[in-house]
Formats: sequence, structure tokens, C-alpha cells
Amino acid sequence: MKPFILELGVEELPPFEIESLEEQLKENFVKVLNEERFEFSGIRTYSTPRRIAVFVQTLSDRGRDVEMEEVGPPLEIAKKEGRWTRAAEGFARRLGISVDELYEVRRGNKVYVAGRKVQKGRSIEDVLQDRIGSIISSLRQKKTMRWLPFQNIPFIRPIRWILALYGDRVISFTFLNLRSDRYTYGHRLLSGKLEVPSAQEYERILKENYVIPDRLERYEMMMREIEEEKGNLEPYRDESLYREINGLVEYPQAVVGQFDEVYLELPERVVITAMKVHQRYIALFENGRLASKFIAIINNLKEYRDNIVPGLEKVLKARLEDARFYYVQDTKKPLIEYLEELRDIVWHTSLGSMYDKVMRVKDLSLWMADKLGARRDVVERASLLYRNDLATLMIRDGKEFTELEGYIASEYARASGENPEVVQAIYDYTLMEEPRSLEGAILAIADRLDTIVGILSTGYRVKGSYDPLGIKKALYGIFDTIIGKGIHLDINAAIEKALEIYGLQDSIDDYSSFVFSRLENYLEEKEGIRWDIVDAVINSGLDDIYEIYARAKFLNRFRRENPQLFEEIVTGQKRAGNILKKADSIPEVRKELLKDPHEKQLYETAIRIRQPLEEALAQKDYPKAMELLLQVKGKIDAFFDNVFVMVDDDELRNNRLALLKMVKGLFDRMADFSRIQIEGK
Amino acid sequence: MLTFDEIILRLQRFWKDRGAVIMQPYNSEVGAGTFNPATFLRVLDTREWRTAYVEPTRRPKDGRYAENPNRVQQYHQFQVILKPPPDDVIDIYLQSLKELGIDIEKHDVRFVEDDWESPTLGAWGLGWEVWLDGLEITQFTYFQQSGSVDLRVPSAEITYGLERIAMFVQNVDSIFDIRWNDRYTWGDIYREFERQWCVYNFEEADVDFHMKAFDFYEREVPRLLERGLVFPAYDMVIKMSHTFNVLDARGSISPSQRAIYIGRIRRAANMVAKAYLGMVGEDEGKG
Repeated sequence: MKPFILELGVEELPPFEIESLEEQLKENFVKVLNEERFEFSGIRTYSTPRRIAVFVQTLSDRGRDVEMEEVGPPLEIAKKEGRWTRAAEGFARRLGISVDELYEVRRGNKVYVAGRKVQKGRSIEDVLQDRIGSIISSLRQKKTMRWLPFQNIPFIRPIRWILALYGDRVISFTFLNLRSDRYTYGHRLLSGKLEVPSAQEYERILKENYVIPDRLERYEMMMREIEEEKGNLEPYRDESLYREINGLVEYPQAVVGQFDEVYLELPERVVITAMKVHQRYIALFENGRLASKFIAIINNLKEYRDNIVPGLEKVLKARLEDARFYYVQDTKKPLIEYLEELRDIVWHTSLGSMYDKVMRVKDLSLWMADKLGARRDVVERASLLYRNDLATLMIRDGKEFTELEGYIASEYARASGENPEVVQAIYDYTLMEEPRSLEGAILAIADRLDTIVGILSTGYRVKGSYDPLGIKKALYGIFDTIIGKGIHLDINAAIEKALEIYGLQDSIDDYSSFVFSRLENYLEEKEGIRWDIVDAVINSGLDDIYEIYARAKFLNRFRRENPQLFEEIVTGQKRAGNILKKADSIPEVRKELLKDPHEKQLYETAIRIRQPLEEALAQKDYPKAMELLLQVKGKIDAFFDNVFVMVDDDELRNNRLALLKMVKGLFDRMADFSRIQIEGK
Repeated sequence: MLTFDEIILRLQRFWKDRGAVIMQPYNSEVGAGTFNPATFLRVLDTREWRTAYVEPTRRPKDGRYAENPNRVQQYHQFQVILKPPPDDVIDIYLQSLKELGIDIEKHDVRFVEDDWESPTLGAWGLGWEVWLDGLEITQFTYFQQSGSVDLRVPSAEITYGLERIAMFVQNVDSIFDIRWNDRYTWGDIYREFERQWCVYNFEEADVDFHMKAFDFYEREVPRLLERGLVFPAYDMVIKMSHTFNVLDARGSISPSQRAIYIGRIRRAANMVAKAYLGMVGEDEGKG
């Protein structure tokens, strides 16, 4: 048992792929070790932009041998007149044993000869030589490339060396044009080719050569560096940016740079984006306001900061200058004047221009504004402005600034002197944070609903995770807004309105079922509400997504807290449902036909709570509604225990069915409990 | 201090010593060194090829009437093609920076993922932009496809931004202040040139003529290919591309038309690429 290290040396990997490659290499390698029956413990992995590696603390030098039984020819063919035949001899030879070691086995009605074959465990050399190609080619990668002539195994970036050591011995094998060896490479600028005497010295040698091979340790070092350099300023927190930077350096060092305060007059996110997106600098804040300083993580020693920082500052200045050029040019005319230019921007090839879209969204938003009691003037004005940034230089030409679409519209609206409610509504449409204004929430919903309805109308369908046009994301945006803001909107009516605005005659069914089926996933993913509860609530006939959410959330909690009681309700409702399924036409309940005291009690309770239940539901007082239903529930159980429904007397039977229907109707007002899945049933 | 012309000479010497054919700029307007037939056509076949050359690169839309210190409508690329790429191609590249007097050990040099694509040429590859203290000085690409044809032997394309490098080594803040040689600055030579071309590209270029010219060049491609004239046909593709760039700068191409124009150029480039492979006897590859 010795330590083992396998390192693939590569040219600089895309930062977002490193983690996944590291994990997959480990997975694939462990799978191979298990399949080849190695004993091993203590797996670790390493990754930097230039390497992915897997280290095993202790590894057996070869896989375990195993004996396996193999069944050969039928006995009557293997043995004739008490002598082994040629068929038997051939079979034994193939197993590497003598015919005397064969024995008889029964399979079904037939007897065969069988033998034991020893499968030798392979050495780590043989395993790697045999399987390195499949270990590497089964790593899933976003984009692959070829770097050698007529090469058959593509990879994300060129592989330039392979290090493989078992203790102090090189495990030698070949892959493409490479032969594995004991050499690795340190930091590109501060080190060079390194000889590694043994597997356990791998990490130490890299660290001495300005490479922190452990990804998490490198991340911590970067965070310490930021902490040391930030002084009394607050760094911009962006986990995704930090992880990206960690995938760009092997030895993180932080330096501070600054820029002219004149650029602080630009919209804040423009400045942050100029630093972040292209340069990967970290913005700094002072008392919540952007400061004219930044932190850069460099891949060299900070003692060279005097050489490096002026360059970093100069590049940022050029980018900020570009932004300022766009800003000055764009704000020469008010934002509203860009509206006409949207005619020239295609939104969707078969659904018209961005201008057409904006006009539809305006109509849909105004309809919603009326339904929800929002300000029409604000909604209308915001809808005529919110997409106009698409025609401005900042978004049209602005490279990294394109991700600020929507935000730029709100900033330019402000600069054009639009009123603050309009500015807020446009900002809210972007959903960069939770909408503050109802008008903005309406715009956010209308824009996305228009997208979903339009795109579905072209025959586009989301299949699994395949959704290149992102309508699922758009729908989730609608759900976020409705739930976050507590908006009561009849979504089917909204879909109908959207279809009408498009001039489409389609039935709303496909659109509606897309929305509601995704709502089940959404509430399960984001709120942890079981999908069958959502399904039951939807089938109570609600069209109001917020209310579906609130009611399902209540029932989900109720179920968790009262599992037994909940199950009884469901069982009762399922039973009622099944009986009612068999009946065809059911009249109204006739009081005079109620005979049994249990059916009388059930009827009376149902009549008594009917009105209060409606009131409780109207007030969205779900605990109260549930309490009322529970009163009925006790009576149902007694009813089922004591009253036989399917009696021969037609009149009596129909009356009991009518009573059951009435009672189930009460529960259905809350949710169709018969649709709930009960475990084990 | 290294002058602009000295930078060019050193890079030429450096790559000549590594077996590159030192070519000259192409004599038709191109938007990148990639358009030069020494790159676009030569990378298609499977034969070895190394070349290096300066390419004055026209980007009509990027002009700023000589008023922006970082943006001009014509700048210079230094283009290197290595087919196939040597295993130590990155080390060789870093060595070339040292040749320019850049003390890379004391700066921040990084290879930042940037997958290059030219939708007009139907070309793409994987690689990086090379940062020197945060400044992109080179685009480094392993070509995977050109003219919409898969490349069975990849090439490394190294494209140095000469002005960026000169601004760095000379420590100047404006392209116009780059020392071209001991007597002249970049601005002395190109300031008025820049201004006039901006006026032309943004204001004076005849839209109607350019539209017609585009259509004409496009029609010429199949006609010339039918007569086996691959190189002239390729020049028509170059001209289509530049004509499109002028129309774009002139603001005469709506976003919806844009994709259509680009598709037309890409199809023409694909026709030429296939014809070239036929000409050199390597047309069994897929298109």
C-alpha cells in the first residue's frame, strides 16, 4: 500500500469548468479502482487552471484476484462414454485449468460442465494504460477541441503532460502523444519544470513553486488577501466572480488600484460591471457607496505591484471612458425618443419586432393595472420606456454592459426626467431584486407572459431541461413576482387576454396547462411544497396563483403536523370519490329521505358549515376553513361506518349519493383531497 | 525604448527564426489578419504551414474621428499561424514577449478563456485572450473550423495587437502618442488618415453603391469558382465582408438584416473553402 498521484497537465482551463472536471476525474478514477478491485483509501483532488489531479493516500499495487465460475458445454457434449471430449478440453484450456478440474452443474433441467477461472487483478500500470483514454474522454465538458493532427480524443484544452507516481515509482503509460512521468510544472512565470520524487511530495513541491493546488485552500488564500488589502472599505460580494477569479490564478495575490472620481457620476452598476465582467476586478464600497478604488487578484507576487497596478488602472480607465462615451451619447435625447427605433429590432422572427412586443405588453399591463388597482399612467409610461435601452449604444454596442439591459432603461429614464414611480417600475421589471412597486411587478409579469404565450403559439415546447428560449425561466419570474409581491391575478384570464392581444383564436388549454404543471415543479423546488398538494389545490378550481400557493403552503404544513388526520381526510375523500364515480345522475338531497341518525348528522353539519366555510375561504382564513371541514370529517367517518350507501331502494340510494356529493363538494372548495398520494397505498 | 517599427521587426525576426514564412499584408481591406488568404485558405488543408505577417486591420465602426485615445478604424495586427501547433507553443509565445523587452516575470500575464468566432468566415476556435496587467495584448486560438469546414489538422493562431503592445512597452496613454520611430509618432502618420476615413465611413460612403457592390461580389463567387478561380473568388468574399462593414458603420443595416448579410458572407466563404480543398486534393473532408 502506497500513496498515488495522477496529474493531467493542461493549458489554461476555462475557470467555470475546473470544478466540474476535478469532481468528475475523481468519480471516474474511483469507479475504475473499484471495478479493478483495488484497495484504497483517502482520496483527494486538486485543480488549478493548469492541472487536475487525483491523489490516493494508500493504494494497493494491483487489483485483487477473483475466482469466477464459468458454465461450459452441456454434459452430454463434454463427456462421451466417460471420457472428456475435445469440446471439454477446449473449454478448460480457455479457463486456464485442466479438464480434471471441471465439474457438473445443473441449470434448469440440464446438466452442464463448469470450471473456476481465476481473474487476475491488474497492475496500476496496466489499468492506466488500458483505461486512461476512457477516463479522460468520459469527462463531460461544454466545448472540446483538437490540438494534434488527426486526433481522435478531444478535450477542453490541450493536455501537455501527465504525472503518475506510485510511491516513488513512475507509473508509465502513454496517452495521445504523451508518456507519463514524474515531472510537473510550477507557476508559469515564477517557476518551471519540476521533478517530483514521490507521490506524497507532490503538493509540497507545487506550493514551494507558487502553485496552491488545492482549490479550496487557494480560495481561502484569496479571501485572506482581499481582507488584508481592503482597508476600511467593503468589497463587492459576488460568489460567482470570486470563484471565477479562483479559476484564473494558481497563486492569488491582491492589489489595490484606483480610478478617477469623475466616473462615479456614471450609474453605479455600469462602473461595477466595467470592473467585473471583463477585468474581473472587485469593486469597493465606502459606507454603502461605490468608492473610486478596486481590488484585483493577480497571478504574480504583489511585491511587483508597482509594475502591475498602473497597467490595471489604465485598462479600467479605457473601459470607463467607453462607458462614459455611451452614456453621454445616449442621454443626448430623452429615452422615449428611442421607442421608434424598436421597430428595427427583431424580437422573434415570426412574432414581429420589439416595438410590436412593447405595444402588446402595454395593452396587457393596462388590463392588469385595472384588475389589480394599479396606476394606469405609471404602467403606460413605463411600458413605453422599459425596452428602449435596446436601441441605445450602451446596450447595442456596449459589450459587457449588455447584461445591464433594463437597468440602463431605468437609469436613462431617470436621466430623462421621468417621474420616480416610472423609473422604479422600469427597474422593477428587471427582477434584479424583488419588485418594490405594483406597477413594476405588473410590467414584469406582462412582459414575460407575452413572451410565453407568443413563443408557445409558434409550437415551441419545453422538453425536460431543453428550453433554449428560456420560457420556463420567464414563467418562474412570473411566479417569483406574484408570490413575492402577493399579487392576486386570475392567470387564465390573463392568458386569455394575452391571446386576444396577439389576435390568436387558440384555446387557452395548452397555455394554461404549461403554467399550472410548472407551478407544481416550482412550488416543490422553491417552497418545498409537495406537488400532489399543489395539484389538489389547483383542482379546487382556483386560477389565482398566489392563492394556490398560500393554500398549498397551509395544507403542506397541516399535513406535516397532522399526518394521521390528514391521511384520514384523504382516505374518506377518495372513498367518496370512488363511490360517486359509479353513480351517473345525482339529484339534490331531499331532507325528508334522510333516515339514519348518522346521515342526518352529516347533513346537518354540512349545512351548518357551508356558509362559514365560504366566508373563511373568501377571507383566506385557512385554519378556520380547515377547522370547519374537520367537523364534517368526523361525521363522514361515522357515516361510512354505519350507513350503507348502495342500497337497492333507488330513491334512498340516490339521496345518499347526493349527500356524499354535497359533502365532497365542500372539501373540494378547499382542495380535491382525493388526488393526494398516500404512501404505500 | 522600443519603437513601433522595432516591435514589428523583432517579431518578424523571432518568428522567422522559428520557421515562419514572413508574409506581407494583404492588399485588400480586411477586418482581421484571419482574412488574409495566408490564414483563411492555408489553414484548411492538412499540410504543414507556418507564417507571420503584419495586417493593417479595418474596422469602420470602431473609428472615433481620431478623438478617442484607444479606438481607431484602422490598427495593426501581427498574425502568426502555426500548423500544426508545437507542443510548447505557449512557451514560445511568452518568449516572444521577452523579445519585446517585456519582463514578464514581474508582470501579471494570464490566459483568460475566450473562444473566438467569426460568424462571417464560418470560423471558430478555442483559446484565450492573453492579459498583460489586465490589458488584452493577444488573441490566442486553436482553430477548429474555417469556412464552416472542420479542420483535421488544427492551427494555432496568435494575433498580437501591435498598438496595445506598443502602448504598454512605451508607457503611453494614447495610440496617437506611440513612437513609430525616432522621428514620427503614430499620430503624425495616421491622425488625419483616421479623421478622413471616419468621415467617409460614417457620413460619405455611398450606401446605394455599397449595397449594389455587395450583391455583385456575391454573384461573382460562384461564377469564378465555376471557372476554377479559387483565389479571385476568395477576394470577392473579402470584399463582401468589408462592404458589409462599411454599410454597418453607415448605419444602413438594421439588426434584422444584419444576420442575413452575415449568413450570405458565410455561405460564400464556405463555397470557397470547399473549392480550395478540392483544388489541393483534400476534398474528402466534410463541409
